[in-house]
Amino acid sequence: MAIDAADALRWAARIACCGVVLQSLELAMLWREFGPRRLLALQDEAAARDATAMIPPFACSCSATLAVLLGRSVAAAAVVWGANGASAPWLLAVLLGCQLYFIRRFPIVLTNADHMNLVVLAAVTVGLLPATSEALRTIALGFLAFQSQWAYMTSGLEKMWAPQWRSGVRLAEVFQDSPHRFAPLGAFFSMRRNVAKQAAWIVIVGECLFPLSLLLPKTALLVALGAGVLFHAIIAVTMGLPSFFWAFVATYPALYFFNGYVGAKPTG
Amino acid sequence: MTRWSFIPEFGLIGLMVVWSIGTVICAFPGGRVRRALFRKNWGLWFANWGVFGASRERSEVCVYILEYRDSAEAEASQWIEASCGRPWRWHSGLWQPERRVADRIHRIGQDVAFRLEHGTPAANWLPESRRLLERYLGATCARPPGASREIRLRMRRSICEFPHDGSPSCWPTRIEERVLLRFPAGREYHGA
Repeated sequence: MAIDAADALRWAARIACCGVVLQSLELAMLWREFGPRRLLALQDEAAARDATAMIPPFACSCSATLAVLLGRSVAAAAVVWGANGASAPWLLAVLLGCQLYFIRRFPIVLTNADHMNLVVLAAVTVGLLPATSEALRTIALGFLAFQSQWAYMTSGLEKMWAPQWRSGVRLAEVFQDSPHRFAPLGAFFSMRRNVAKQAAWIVIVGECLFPLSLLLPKTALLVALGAGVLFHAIIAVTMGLPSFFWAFVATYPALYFFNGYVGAKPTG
Repeated sequence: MTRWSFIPEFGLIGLMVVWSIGTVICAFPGGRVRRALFRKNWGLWFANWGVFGASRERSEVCVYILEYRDSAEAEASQWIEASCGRPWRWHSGLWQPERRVADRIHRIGQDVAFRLEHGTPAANWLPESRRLLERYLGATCARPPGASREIRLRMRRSICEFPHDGSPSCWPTRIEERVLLRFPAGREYHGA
């Protein structure tokens, strides 16, 4: 089943916005930590300087931060429920601004997923603006697909070059003794080094070869994307990193679209 | 192109092309353009996954104070926060299940109340940490209430990587040491 560029962008927007809603609400629940001298204040001097160079200091206050987060979650929820609506592109533009604010305001909790979210929101905002041409939509999806595949590939290569990853030791460490630890899996991988090594290599090979999914037949692509969803779901549940799930799965409609694009035979 | 003029549409395309090129450039360490981008703090906009080889370049040792004297965690946290300014750094991703967020915040006093970073070879982490800690305490903190000039601390070693010339990713190890620190005389902390 083929989808057109606009549909692919709408699906990307919906998925990314699901993550934005959850992320905003989860962070808003910690509003007590936004104030001065608290955990989520702008603590680092350099970070504070960077942030206030782009956003006025009053916008970093506890109440302003909370207001932005709540507004962001409402706007994202509106996109999830009404991605086809006329207001969706403008809501996405607001969310793009909020994402820029978020990246500057919360450097301490920033992950790669937040940057991928920025990429997704930028692409879907451009692609869904009312007068955007079909060519620009396609380019926006291409941009999204490229960023996604590049992220997977660099991540896979980084692991491949690290001896600790190749031996499976790092995988056991991640689950056993890191901020994202998950004790049962940590104990499991520590006891079974061979299994850890095999699991690490599955991740390495999967990430390195993921860009080739664009060339696969549709059914095989769906299997690859399904494996990607499962991979991110496992990370979300065990390591407590759900933002990666939403940010990266949001790029999958672009991959699906481009798989059809690459495989399309010229007619006439 | 109906309402869009030629120039804005090509401007957006150009922006995406530049963003993509920047992402590729920033993935390779050592390049002059990459260094310039990061020096201007622009690099992170392009490529948070610019990781080729970079994580092997810089691996540093961090120290967590796990225990301060025998006092309650809250007292230690309060002292560190109020007396030492804002030395706290919290690296765990926020987007964890609520139980982990709560767990982390609860254990701040023990686990991540205080951290120092320095580029010490792993073998020297303890003496170097002690030296830096003393210097840091002497420079920035007031003596804790009722404490003698010596305080006992339990420190945990942690390895930090700096994969993107930016925020470090830290991996606490199981290696711990108990140390006795000489505290500078003169200033005493009397509460917030």
